[in-house]
Amino acid sequence: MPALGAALAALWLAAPAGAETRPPYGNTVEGTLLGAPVALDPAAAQSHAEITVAALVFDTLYAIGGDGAIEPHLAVGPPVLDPAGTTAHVALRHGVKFHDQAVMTAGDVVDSLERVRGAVGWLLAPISAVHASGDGIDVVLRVPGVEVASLLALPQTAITRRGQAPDPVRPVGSGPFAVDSFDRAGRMLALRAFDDHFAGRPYLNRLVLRWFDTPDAEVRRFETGQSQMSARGATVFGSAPKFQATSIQSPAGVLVFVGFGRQHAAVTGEPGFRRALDLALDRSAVATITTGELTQPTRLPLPVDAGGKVLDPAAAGGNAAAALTALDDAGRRVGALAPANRAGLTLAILVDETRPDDREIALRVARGLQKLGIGFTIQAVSAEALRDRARGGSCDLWIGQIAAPTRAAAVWWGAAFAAGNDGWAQRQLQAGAIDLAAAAQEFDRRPPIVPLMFRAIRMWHRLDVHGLAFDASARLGFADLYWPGGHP
Amino acid sequence: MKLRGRFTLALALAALVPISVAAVVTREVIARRYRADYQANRDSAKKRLDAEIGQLRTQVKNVATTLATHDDPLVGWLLLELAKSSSHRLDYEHTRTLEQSSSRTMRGLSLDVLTITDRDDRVLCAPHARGKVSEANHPEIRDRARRSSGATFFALEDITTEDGGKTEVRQVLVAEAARSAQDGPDEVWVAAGRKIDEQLLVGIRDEHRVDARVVALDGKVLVPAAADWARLSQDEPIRIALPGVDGRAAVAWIEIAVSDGDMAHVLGNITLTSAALALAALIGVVLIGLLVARRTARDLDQLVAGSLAAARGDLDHRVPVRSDDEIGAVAAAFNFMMEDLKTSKERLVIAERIAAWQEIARRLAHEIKNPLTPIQMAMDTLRKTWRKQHPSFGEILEESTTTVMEEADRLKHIVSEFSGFARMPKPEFQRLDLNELVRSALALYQGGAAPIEIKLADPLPRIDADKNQLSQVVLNLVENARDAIGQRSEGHITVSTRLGEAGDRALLIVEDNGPGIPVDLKDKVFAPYFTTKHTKGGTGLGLAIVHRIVSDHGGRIAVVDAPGGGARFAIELPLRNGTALLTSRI
Repeated sequence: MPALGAALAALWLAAPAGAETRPPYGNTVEGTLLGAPVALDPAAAQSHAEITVAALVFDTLYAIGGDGAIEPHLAVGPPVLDPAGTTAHVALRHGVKFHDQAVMTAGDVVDSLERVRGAVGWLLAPISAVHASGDGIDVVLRVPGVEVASLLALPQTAITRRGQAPDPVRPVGSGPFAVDSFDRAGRMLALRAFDDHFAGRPYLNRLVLRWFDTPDAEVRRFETGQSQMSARGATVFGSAPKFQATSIQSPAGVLVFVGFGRQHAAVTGEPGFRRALDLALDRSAVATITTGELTQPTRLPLPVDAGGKVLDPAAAGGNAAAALTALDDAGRRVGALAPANRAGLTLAILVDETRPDDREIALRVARGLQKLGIGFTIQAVSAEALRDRARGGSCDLWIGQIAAPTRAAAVWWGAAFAAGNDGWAQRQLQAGAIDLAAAAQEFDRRPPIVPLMFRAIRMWHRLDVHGLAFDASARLGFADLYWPGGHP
Repeated sequence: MKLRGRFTLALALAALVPISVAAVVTREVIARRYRADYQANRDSAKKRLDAEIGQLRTQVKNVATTLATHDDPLVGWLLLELAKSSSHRLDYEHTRTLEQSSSRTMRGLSLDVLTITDRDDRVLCAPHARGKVSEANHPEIRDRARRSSGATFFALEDITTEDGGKTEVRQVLVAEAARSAQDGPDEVWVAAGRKIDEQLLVGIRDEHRVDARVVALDGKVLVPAAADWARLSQDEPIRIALPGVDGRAAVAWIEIAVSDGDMAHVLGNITLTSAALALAALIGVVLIGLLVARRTARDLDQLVAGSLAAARGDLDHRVPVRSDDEIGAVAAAFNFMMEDLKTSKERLVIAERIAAWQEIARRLAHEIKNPLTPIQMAMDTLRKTWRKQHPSFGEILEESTTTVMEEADRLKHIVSEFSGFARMPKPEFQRLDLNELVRSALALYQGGAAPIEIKLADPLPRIDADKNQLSQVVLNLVENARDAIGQRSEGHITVSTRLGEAGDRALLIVEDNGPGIPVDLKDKVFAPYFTTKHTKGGTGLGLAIVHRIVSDHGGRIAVVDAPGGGARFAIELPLRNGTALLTSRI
């Protein structure tokens, strides 16, 4: 009896202690994406919303920790290079399951990486082949010295079932959440916890992510208690919030840029025009359009931690005189840009209607065009339309995002040139590596895009919602999120 | 023009002239009224717009003045926050608050433009043009405030508009006022304005009559007209200058177009209606005129036919009398006249017949008397010589009986001639070739002493004529011409034919170059028994026979002087028997 009593006492003491240290499972939380995900295929992920979703539904071999360090994820350890440094062996975890309960194999990994090599040529350009080998895979490199783990931590390299493109509506991955429904028209992605996730089940039962076409809509939803987080503040008009809230902020890891289409190919394809626009932009004004999060005006597609520089206020303000000089020079090559013809030129700026900030950014870009004497219109289109038209070139200018969870400058250069449909970086990567100085020169000579700023993401959330965190690439991690007072 | 056409034309003119005069007068009266209204509308529209603009300028100035004070919730708060900031700049939270507050203020004050810049000329807020927010280097607000001294001016501003998913910047004209507000080292510049749009113009617009639009100096239409400007602005529009910040030079114009109330349209309708009425009247009048003229002309045609019949000698022709009007009276008078003519002609015929017999008796007596005298003298000589038993009685008897016999022959000849003239038959018409007839008749004279020149028109239509009688005409005239030229060595006769100019008759001309016919004898040569050739045995019936034959053929004969001297006998013969030759072409 004394022993039983002691045991019961130990249990009584242990129970509250356990409740205090382990978050409760359950509940549904409604959160926010920074725009509509066009596709749920990780290989096609480019925007912040897409790489966020990719990290929730899929897993990569390596992951980026909160401090930016690369950590093994599906891999059990860092890549092991052969003596020549041209083949890296990556050992894989065993027993990892997809959402359909299929066990992930080395074949799935090899096929997934090979698909990415084909679909996003520049991304894995340093890798010449991937083979299944023993307990994992062998990654054959074109030249020694490639940071294999960094490449395999990119969200685009996530592993899909049999290495195939996932179903566009109900993709099957191995990530902490499985897709319940994807409603483009309703602007909602519903996820449910994946019980068999190799890293453990998320606390939440269900996660609903929404995106909006006006800044107010998101905040109103937060204020009315329908959502538990908001990227645009906790109150609509600055009065006291109805729910106590706090905010977290990511590093400035999302590049906002101006892309160019081919609707007026002679104009927008002219490097002089792009340089003139680059000079005419007042990036200090561009950087104020966010909701108070960190912004870093930039003329290069490199974040600070990848070697980029934040423009000083004077340089961020632009140089209208130099811009006009550059445009006059371009006007000697392109008739439409000649001073006499500029008034008759009107360029359309496409923006993603689900990224309200981009409309404000477009207004600042439009001011740059105005300074050049060029007319403009801003057209908000769906995220799908924007991507299709940007890829197809059937537009003049468009506002784009690159969210690359890496500190590798080569990846940023590659992403920037790829966003501008320019194969220079891919050729460099296929040859082994990108010469960063040459990349800067090439970028300056014929800018494939015009970078505007790197921005952080600030997320407001209720105080009773815990575990929300950004990784080093500004992605929100919902896997550790829990809401003790939430709805079941 | 025929009577029918003249009558119809006269009726048409009688209908058209009063309608046209009435239309012109009506049109002019209405046009004057419209012009007066038009000028009044122009004056009124300009006056009303001037008042509207003045009111707008006052309102904008008052709004800007109210805004640029410490008491204004927006600017007062802004100055306070700038003062609290060590950098005298707004942080993100305050920028966002200002953005929202300025937007509410702009809407609340019914402004379309609201720009606030800080002491560094950085745009702090511009709800109408969000692209400018946080932009530096906007000294124009400060400049406008200083140059305008707070007065309202007009300027072109860029305003961002959103329509669905499309965002554009539109340049609009605004009435704007700019002022500064200061709190210690912090100074902000406020520019507030309202756009010149439909609302300003709607007060003077009057559907279909008055419209207005706003036009930039370069001709670009900033606020379009509500209606069809081209239609309304046919006259020079009224222009009201909208001065810029210096208060003098215009930055745009308001143009007012005043319609003349569709004057042209109304006048056009009047003209059209008048024309339609005139046309209808014309058609009616022409139809009525044609009917009346037809009836009148029919009666007149019958009168003409009666006259022609009378001309041909048909005095039994009568025209129907269909009405009691003037035409009927004329017809009745015509019939009466014809009856009277017939009676007169019959009397005349009787009288002429008596006269002719008297003349014949006189002539016959005269002709018979002439031979009787020698017979009487011869018989008297014979009786005397017989009584005296004149020794030469035998010779005298022979001589006297010879004379008696000669005179008896002469008497016999005279009686024969008269008998022939009296028994002349009526012509037996047949279709014949006049040229052939002439050639045949003159064949007897070929190789004669007097040359006869024949000039025959070819072709010449065949005519209705009695061959024998017409041959006698030719022979009588040629014989007459031969007698005229006598033994003259240069004697010359010409016989010619030709078609009359009207194509309705044939002409037969015989002329000679003899002594001609004295003027006082020309009227007598066709009279029976008139002759100048008694000594040559002329009976004076040759030309009378010719005249009678020509008359029996419905023709005419005339004698005139030949161009080279001598006489010319010209005969006109109708191509068809029964066709009267109303006028002589000789």
